[in-house]
Amino acid sequence: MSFWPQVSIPDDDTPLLINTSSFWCTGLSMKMMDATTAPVSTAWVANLAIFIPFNLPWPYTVSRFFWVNGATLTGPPNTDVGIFAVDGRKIVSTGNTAQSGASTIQFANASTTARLAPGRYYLGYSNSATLADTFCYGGVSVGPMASHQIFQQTSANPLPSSATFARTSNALIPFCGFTRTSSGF
Amino acid sequence: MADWPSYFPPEASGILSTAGPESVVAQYTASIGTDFATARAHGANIAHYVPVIVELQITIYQMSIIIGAQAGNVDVGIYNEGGTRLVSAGSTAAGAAGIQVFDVTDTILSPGCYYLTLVASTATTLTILAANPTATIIRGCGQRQQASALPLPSTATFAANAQGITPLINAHFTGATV
Repeated sequence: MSFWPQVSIPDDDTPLLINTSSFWCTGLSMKMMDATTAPVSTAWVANLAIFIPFNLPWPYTVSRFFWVNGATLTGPPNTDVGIFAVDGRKIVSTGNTAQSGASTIQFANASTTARLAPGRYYLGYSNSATLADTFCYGGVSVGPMASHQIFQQTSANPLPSSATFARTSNALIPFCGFTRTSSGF
Repeated sequence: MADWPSYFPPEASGILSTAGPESVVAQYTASIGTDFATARAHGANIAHYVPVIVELQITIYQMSIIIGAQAGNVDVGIYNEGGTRLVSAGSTAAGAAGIQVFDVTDTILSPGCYYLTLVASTATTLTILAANPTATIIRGCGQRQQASALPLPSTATFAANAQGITPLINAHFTGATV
């Protein structure tokens, strides 16, 4: 069996969605290295951005992003979710989106539908508030996060056009992701 | 043979499973250290559509679930991404505790996304092995549902998942008959 990436593959042969627990992201290997537990409503750090690496073996069309709102949405806070190249260049994002619906999943359209080539990227998540407003994994710690090349950037809401990756000092991994579907779920 | 990288080579067990690496829900449960090993009640007549990835063409010839406590009826089936039912067992009396096997019409699955699906007729007395992530997280793994769906419909009407449960459903494609 050959292992070079296929450059042409129909969308419906790729997963419906990819999230931070996906095989192509860091979820399983983080569990092997840390005491990761189910996501719960968690207080964020205002304007902090977290960048989580993922790897695509096939082209993938990004249509929407999603995350899970926490229990407290005073304001409401704004969330920005996007995809970055390994050099920090932002490829696509939702733009700042007012959170709506406590403790529920929220979907937001990408600013433009993006077709990603096979390769390595970062899923960036940023939130404007210091509230229990995002579902994040429990039991994570910064050492394993750094081992997985999960980075952070402060003062990064909305997400910057070019990220400056720094070693994370905040044990926060949001449950979030993206999908090639334009509706549903 | 496909020319793209295979991340989910055909399992030695010869099954496509909601608990296998081809299932996004199972990827999530593995990432937090939980499993499908507990028998749980499912909402009455609610179809649970659990997405899985098929990377190589396979032919399904049986499906199975694992009963905890016997009661009522069940139906299992496979849907394509668009919601068309490809095969199902039909409403069947739940078996005794242990594995229940359904001989289904041999069905070819080409590479793509499918839904392994189960519906049970009772809310409390029938239990089936399942995982129990929160409903919101399961939505973020692509699982969907449909009410009043026994027997499984020929065309799914997908609704947002509100169930905190993912049944263990296996679709057998190689090996000896179970």
